[in-house]
Amino acid sequence: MIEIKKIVKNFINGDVVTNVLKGVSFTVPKGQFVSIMGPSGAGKSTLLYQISLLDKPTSGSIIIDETDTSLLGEAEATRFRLKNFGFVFQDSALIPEFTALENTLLPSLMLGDNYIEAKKDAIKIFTSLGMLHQIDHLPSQLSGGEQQRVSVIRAIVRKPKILFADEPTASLDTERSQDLMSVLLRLHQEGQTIIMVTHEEEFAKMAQRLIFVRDGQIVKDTIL
Amino acid sequence: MATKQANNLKLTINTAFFIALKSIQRGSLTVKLVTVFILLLTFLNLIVVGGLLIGVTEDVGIKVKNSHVGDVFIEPAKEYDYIQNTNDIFSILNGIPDTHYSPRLTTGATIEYEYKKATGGKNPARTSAVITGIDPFLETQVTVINKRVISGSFIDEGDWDGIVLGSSLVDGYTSGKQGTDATLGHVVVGEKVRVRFPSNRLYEFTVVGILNSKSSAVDQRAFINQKILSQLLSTDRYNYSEIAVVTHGNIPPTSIIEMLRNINLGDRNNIKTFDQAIPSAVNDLKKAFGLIGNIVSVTALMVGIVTVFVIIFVNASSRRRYIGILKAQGISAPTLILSYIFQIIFYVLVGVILGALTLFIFLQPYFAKYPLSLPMADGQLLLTTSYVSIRVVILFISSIISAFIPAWFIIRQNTLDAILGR
Repeated sequence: MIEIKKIVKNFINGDVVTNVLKGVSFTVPKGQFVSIMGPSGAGKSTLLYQISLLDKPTSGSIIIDETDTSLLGEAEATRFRLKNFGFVFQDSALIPEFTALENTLLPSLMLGDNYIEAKKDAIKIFTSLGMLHQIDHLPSQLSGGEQQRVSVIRAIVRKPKILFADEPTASLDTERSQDLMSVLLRLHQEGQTIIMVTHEEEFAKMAQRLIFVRDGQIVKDTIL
Repeated sequence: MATKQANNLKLTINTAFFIALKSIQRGSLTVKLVTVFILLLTFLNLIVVGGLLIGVTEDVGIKVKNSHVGDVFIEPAKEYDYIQNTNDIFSILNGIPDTHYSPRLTTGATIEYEYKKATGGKNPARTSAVITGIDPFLETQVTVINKRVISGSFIDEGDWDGIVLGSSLVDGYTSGKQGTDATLGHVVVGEKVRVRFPSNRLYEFTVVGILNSKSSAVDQRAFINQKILSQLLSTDRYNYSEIAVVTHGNIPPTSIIEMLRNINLGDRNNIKTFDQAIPSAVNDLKKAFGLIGNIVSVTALMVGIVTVFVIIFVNASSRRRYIGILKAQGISAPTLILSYIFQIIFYVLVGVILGALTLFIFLQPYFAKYPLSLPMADGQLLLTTSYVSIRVVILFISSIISAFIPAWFIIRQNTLDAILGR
């Protein structure tokens, strides 16, 4: 369960204060697939960064499974992300020197998981996504769609409580985008909580719930 | 709590090692080669220049010791012209096993050459020198000057009018005073020279040898038989100006000095160890060369660590987004910083290994075979374990610091800014 309470985010540039989020509140139950949509500059990505602890809100609080994340320091927030979150960014941002498999194993290593077991789990997901033969490929040897799939595997391999996706289809063509969305839908069906920011209505509507943000406020919150 | 911290530390080290290993395995070959090459050069710069300068200064000292002062050097105290109580000194020295000594009689004098050709008011070639009377047999047991004769031979015990000239007194044997008024000119073995003693007494000698010990105090001397010098100076046969002592036994030079001082000989004579007897110019030279060596080493180290700094800074800057992504996934900043430190430790290790191979397989044998030939010494690459170890440790620590700073600077930046490239 994620409780977002009156989140305010201001950006200060010299004397200019830009109020990007203006007291946003909502709750995400476990296992829900939420799309956040809105026009450019609406504050949807900023909202995602606050919830995923990549940024700190100016005021308000985010409570995740009874943990008030506003009380976490930098190192604690990093540890919290490691244990609870998975991320899929606009581009895959895979580490170029690591193979596809190695890219997905870093969080497991950092958490002290059994390396062999972690590898087995990762290979299972690679197999289920039809990428077994590419586990030893370097990112430069993979297509854009394949790289993004690897970044999804990296995000979910440790079965995170919440999967954050920031414009995951933005750098993919339509076919690859639909392919990626089908992966996310499959994960949701398996019980994965997903919060996705997108500006593409077609994909946003594939989620269970659509939150529309404009000028730093939620203007529409619909269960689809 | 402590167990949890130890476990976290272990995980940090494991993950950092994994990241470093993969970066080394699959990183840019050019960057790897340049980094290792820079560290190899830094290592060689740290070791070689200083090692050569130490080799030169050590050799200067060794030459002074082996050609002149020995392990213990005895001179008269200021108020005396000659060493006092020589018989007591000899008796003590004779009682010490494996110890040899060479008593010498010295006087300032003028040596003249081609004086027979100097007619019509023209002056002969002349130079001032320390005329040193020696017992050739005793001298060869104490110093190696008989082996430093570069033309002709050393004087024999029964040779009453033979003279061996130091190379600084003549032209053609050293690069120093060529063609100046301070030398006799091109004297060759077999020619006659004339010595004008302080009493104005003249004596003609035949040049039997020219020696070049590369020790200026010796090369500015002329050696003759001590017995003839005693006669020419009309002094007692047992008057000596200096005694050089060498010992090869178990009794250290300091103990020999102690024995001599215990019978109050120290009051009337100056009794010194080799280090005390060594000319102050040599000690100044040692200090100056040591300073130059340190300056060169520090400069080399600075160049090396600045290069490492730049390489790591450029590397970390160009990977800022990946670093942000890793941090977003929960890979901690210390883990990422440590991965850079592991990488630089690896590169330093490779640089040091290659440097050590270059040093010990090529450079050291090369300088042993072809030492740097300087006027005052032959420079070899002198490397002691402590000298090399200290520099290796300095290189490791400096490189780690120079990798840590840029890595820390880049990695500590805001995660979101790194991801978004702000």
